[in-house]
Amino acid sequence: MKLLKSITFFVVYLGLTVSMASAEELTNNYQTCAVCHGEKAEGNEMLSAPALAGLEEWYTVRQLNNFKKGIRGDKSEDIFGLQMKGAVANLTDIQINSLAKELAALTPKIQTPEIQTPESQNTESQNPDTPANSTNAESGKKYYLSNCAACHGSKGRGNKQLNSPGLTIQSDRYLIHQLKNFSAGLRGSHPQDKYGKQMAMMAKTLPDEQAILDVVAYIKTL
Amino acid sequence: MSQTSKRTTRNWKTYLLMIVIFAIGLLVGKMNIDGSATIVGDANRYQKSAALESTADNNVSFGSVATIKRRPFNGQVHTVNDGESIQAAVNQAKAGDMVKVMPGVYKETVYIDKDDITLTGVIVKGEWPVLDGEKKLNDAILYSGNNFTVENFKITHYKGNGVMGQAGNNFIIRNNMIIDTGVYGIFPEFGKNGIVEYNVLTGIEDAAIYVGMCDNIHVAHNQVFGNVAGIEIENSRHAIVENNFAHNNTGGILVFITPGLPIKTTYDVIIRDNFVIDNNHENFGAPGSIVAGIPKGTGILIMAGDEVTLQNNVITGNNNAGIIITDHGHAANLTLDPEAEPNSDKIAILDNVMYNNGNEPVNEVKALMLTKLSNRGPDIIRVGESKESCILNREKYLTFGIDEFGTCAFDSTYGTKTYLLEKPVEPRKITAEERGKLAYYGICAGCHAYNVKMVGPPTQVIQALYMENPQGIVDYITNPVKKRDDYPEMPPQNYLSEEVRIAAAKYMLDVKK
Repeated sequence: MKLLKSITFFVVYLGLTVSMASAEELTNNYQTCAVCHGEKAEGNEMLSAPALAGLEEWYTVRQLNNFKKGIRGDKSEDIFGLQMKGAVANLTDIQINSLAKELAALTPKIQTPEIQTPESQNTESQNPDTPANSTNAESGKKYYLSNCAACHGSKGRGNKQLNSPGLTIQSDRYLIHQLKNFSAGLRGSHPQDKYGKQMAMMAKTLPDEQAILDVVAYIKTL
Repeated sequence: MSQTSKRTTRNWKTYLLMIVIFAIGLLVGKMNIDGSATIVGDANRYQKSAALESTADNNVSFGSVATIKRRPFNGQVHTVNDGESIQAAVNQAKAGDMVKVMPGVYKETVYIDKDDITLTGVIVKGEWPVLDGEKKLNDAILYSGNNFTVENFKITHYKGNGVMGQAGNNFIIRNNMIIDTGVYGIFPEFGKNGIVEYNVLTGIEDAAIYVGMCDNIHVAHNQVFGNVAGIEIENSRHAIVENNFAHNNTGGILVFITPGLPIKTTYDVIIRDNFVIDNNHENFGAPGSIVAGIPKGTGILIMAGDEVTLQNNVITGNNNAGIIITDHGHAANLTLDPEAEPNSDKIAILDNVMYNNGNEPVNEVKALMLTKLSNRGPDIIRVGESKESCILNREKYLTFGIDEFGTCAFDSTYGTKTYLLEKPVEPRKITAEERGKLAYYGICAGCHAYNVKMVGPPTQVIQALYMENPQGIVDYITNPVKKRDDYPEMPPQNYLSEEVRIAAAKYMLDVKK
């Protein structure tokens, strides 16, 4: 699995270096990011890289700073978080701010729920974050409205006043992965990660994996 | 929305097909699901309650008129004229005094935290004293004192509550007109022994009369119309709702256990002699809130309440269904509370007048009725478990899901005149440790349930946001700012002392259910 990921990493990397010039909206600051997050910042499931296009400016700034300071990506089990921590270590404040602004200005790509192709089903057994076939958005709705909507809004658009990002631009797979990270203490357990701790506490109110899948299934209907 | 409701309908249908097949199986097996031959309940249920309960100190029903005895009046009268402040007069008043308010317009919130105060409006030639919140103020009248009476006010254009009781006992709220006052019209919370009578309420976006976490309550002779919920008895016991007129609300009369509140039961509720007519108003409840899940056209809705008896009500023209009996699992916008029993058990439907209900049932109900080869919604529908329930004269109504109900052994509730107490409840002795709990029960829980969106964000979410920081809550509730588009604005709690605010905040961060 890891080998597969490294291979795709290189394939994507090569492909991107060739086509980099077409990423017109984004300045050079973004070049390193595009390797994983895609040239249009649409995210890349194969690399577990979330979509960045349309991410709230304040949220990107906060998360990049968290990675830089080791507030996020501080757990060895959080492989992708560790990658990010390494990737942003050298960004300056000016770069962070202008990147966040550029990304916020992009139109988010609509992330449709994943279609189960034979290939993706093949990797399913190895990837615990693949959405299950039997999700129940109705049951997820009850959790969402009770536990999530107070901060992320009943339409999942986020709320700056409560420091909560929008959820609808992300893929179901990414949302499931992060909910599990919060729940398992891989994210939101650093003492300085105030908002992460809030999220971790709420993620732990979901009783089991099915509840996580259901709530994400509901988010994808928003 | 249309997609999800279609899916739900399909699920229902599959489910139903299974039920139908199961039912046929039962018939073939010569088993009987017709419960009419089973006699349910004690014939003397409402005759001997006084004798039954006399052992539990003063918890005895009495007399023939619902009333709460007051001490003979020998206090002072404080008169408030147009242009003066009611609050200033209340501040002057001592326990046992009366504040008389003359006709005029008063733009204020009145907070009464002492015992034995009577706040009475004086109506002169049809001119009422008016409390006007101008859509800026949150609450008209808040009381936490015991033995409080409020009467003869016209209350309008507040954003939160018309009259809210915060753990006050022995209250009388009568003869008020409450128009377009936001979330709750008359809302006694966590009170024991109280009367709500002869009030008229309209334009309320949650419950017009909301009896929350109370005991020994009498709700009578009120008119409620054009609200989302007309009269709601929630997480309360020993209540009578009689002689009210509930029309053109989304739902007329509700008996609920709402999950996530600190008091977990609703039982012993009599609903009798009410008119429940044409409750077909569009639902204008806050999105995602519990009442927003009530289908329009609902006459009486019983969700998880136990020992609820319906007698001699006129229930007509409710386009979804006359009476719905359901559980937490079938209700929209709810998460389960492991400590609250989710079913409506021991429901008794005595003789009632029902016709012309169900002209336009919601899809879920329509799908169920199709199995009965009916295009109409029912007079009575039961979904979810309901043990030891009974009905009289079942042949008079179009019903779904009540074949298992037995036949009631009793046919009247009139032996029980009232659940009000013979002697008023003694004032609470409040220790410092209990102060936070009392504030949480009496104030916060009016809008914040533990894990359900009631009006404000759930307590669990607040715990995540503030964690070890009760002072953060105090700062916020002292001077709240609107943060959420789809929630009403939090009303300032600055009328509470700093001590009470911090105690409530600490309790809120510690509460576990």
